Amino acid sequence: MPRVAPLRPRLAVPLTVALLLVGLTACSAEPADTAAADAADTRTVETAYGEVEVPTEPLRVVAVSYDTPWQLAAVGVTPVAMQDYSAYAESFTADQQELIADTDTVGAFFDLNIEAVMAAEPDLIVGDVLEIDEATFDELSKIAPTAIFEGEYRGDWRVIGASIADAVGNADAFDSAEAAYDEELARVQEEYADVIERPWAAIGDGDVEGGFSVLYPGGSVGALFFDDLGATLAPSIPEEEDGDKGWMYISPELTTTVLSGAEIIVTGANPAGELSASLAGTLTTPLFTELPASASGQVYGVWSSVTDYGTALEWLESVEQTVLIPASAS
Amino acid sequence: MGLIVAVVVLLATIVGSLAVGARYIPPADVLRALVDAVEGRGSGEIHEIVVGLRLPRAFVGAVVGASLGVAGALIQALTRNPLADPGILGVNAGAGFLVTVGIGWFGVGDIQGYVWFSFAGAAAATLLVFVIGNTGPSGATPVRLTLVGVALGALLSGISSMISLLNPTVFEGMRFWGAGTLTSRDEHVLWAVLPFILIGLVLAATVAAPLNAIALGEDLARSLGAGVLRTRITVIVAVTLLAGAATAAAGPIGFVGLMVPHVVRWFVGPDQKWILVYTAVCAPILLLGADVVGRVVVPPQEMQVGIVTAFIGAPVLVYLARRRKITGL
Repeated sequence: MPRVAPLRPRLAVPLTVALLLVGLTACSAEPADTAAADAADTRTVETAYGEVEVPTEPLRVVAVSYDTPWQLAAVGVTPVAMQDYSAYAESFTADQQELIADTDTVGAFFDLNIEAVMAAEPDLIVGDVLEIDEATFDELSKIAPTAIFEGEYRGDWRVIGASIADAVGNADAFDSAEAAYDEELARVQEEYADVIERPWAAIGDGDVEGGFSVLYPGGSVGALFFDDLGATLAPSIPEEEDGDKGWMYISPELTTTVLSGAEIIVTGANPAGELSASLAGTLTTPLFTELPASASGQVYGVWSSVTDYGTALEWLESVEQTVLIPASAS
Repeated sequence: MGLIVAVVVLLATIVGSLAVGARYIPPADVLRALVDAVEGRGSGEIHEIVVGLRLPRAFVGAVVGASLGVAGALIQALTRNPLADPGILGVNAGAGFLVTVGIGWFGVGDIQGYVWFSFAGAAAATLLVFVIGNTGPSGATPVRLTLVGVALGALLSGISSMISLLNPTVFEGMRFWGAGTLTSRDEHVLWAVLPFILIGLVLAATVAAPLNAIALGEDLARSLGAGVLRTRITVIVAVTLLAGAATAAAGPIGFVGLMVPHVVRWFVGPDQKWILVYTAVCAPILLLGADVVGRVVVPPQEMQVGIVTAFIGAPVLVYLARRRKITGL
């Protein structure tokens, strides 16, 4: 009887060839499917550095600029990584501090760690042009789609926030928050019209001890009090010079000259209502305590770090409770 | 005669600093405010600006200026380097380092607190420089002291910068003190540093003659009875007291101790007695003049006096370094 070769070796070659053919067929079909799927999953947004293809529903967003995490949170997006705010934690609200504590970091203000961004495995990176120049944008674009936006001025959260909300596909949430803020603002303006029309001054930290800065309409904080709320700028405030940043340092010797015309003075404060050591010192100088607003107890510290309509609503509530209600009673 | 002229100019500068500032106050109003203050009355904006802000500022400026100038003259004589500065012994760096520690770890928040940390830092740095510089067989020669002072100053400045950048509270505190300023310096600051400055000036007066002898060479100085080591130690103590107290009061202010003794030598020659006396009068003129300039050059804000002296001093230093014949010691 002749020997018969074992079945397995005789089938090995054709079996292998068949498997290879099936594999190749599957692979050749996949790119087309993936391309079709990709096209449906991305869309184009206009950014400060040109058009960028971003995911329609990003799942892992990394915030690379200072205000971006709050602007994302305001439209329901929690970033998977952000800057390291631990050194400034007390300047944030309780909700913001909670977000800070639970999120990975990608470096500090103006000190972005590209490797940390990469480690966060983002599918979308967002920020603004203040910190992300074009060279950094190019580096970040190698990691994931990167959408960087700019406004009309530094800290123009309305324009930048709207762009970021659009980039993450939550423009509707931004519009809803804006409508809620506008409605509440209108109520406050009507209810406290008499207080708002009194002459106000908004001041911040100075550049010398005993000095201060005046905040103007159009600046990141001045815009809240004078453009949004509609407070009347005190006539004694010097005119803003061309090219100014929305604020101007004032010598302590000019305290009376600049602030004597204000019936209400608002200053910056942290979320707990505490003033900076610099401002607290300025408020105790003899020239300041002799001001009409100080003598009548109309100097108020208001937290004003607004970056989105969510924090804008918090700011408005703070202004009402801290300034408008007490000033109405005086 | 020259000294009388210098004193008159100093008095005029002080009066001018009371009238000229971010807000100009006519001399008549200045005089009225001063008279009211002497009589124990007076109030209002003009009174507060003249008596509350500018008068103590002028006194602190005069005292700080004299201290920095005399300290500069002493250190230039000690190191035989006409372009030396009080900071060369690490005074400014030591003061700045302990101020950052005070702000960051002890919660110091105002100038009354800074003064003591600054002074302690200046004294500690100078002591350390002397101890390190005195090791070895050749002892604390001017070259060794200079090298150690520069090295220690660089180290302490680097650490101070690191702390400031990592700690926002320290950064905010150093923002005011670190530039060198007379703003908001009141009588409390003046009384805190005046005793140390007076002791430093007295010590400076005692070493003027020995420094003249040392300028002729150490061997000749010894033969003339001048104690070289004792003089060096006295100079270092005097510089520490003067520059340390001045830095404690107003923060690090450069170029005053460098420029004024140099310019004074053009007129009075190499005699340390006259150099120290004229420097004590002329340095406050420069510092107060720079302070007034800082108050009017960028209205309505102020430019710190340390920045103004740097603007003035840097070109002067370049000119001095380029001169073929630097005024000798």
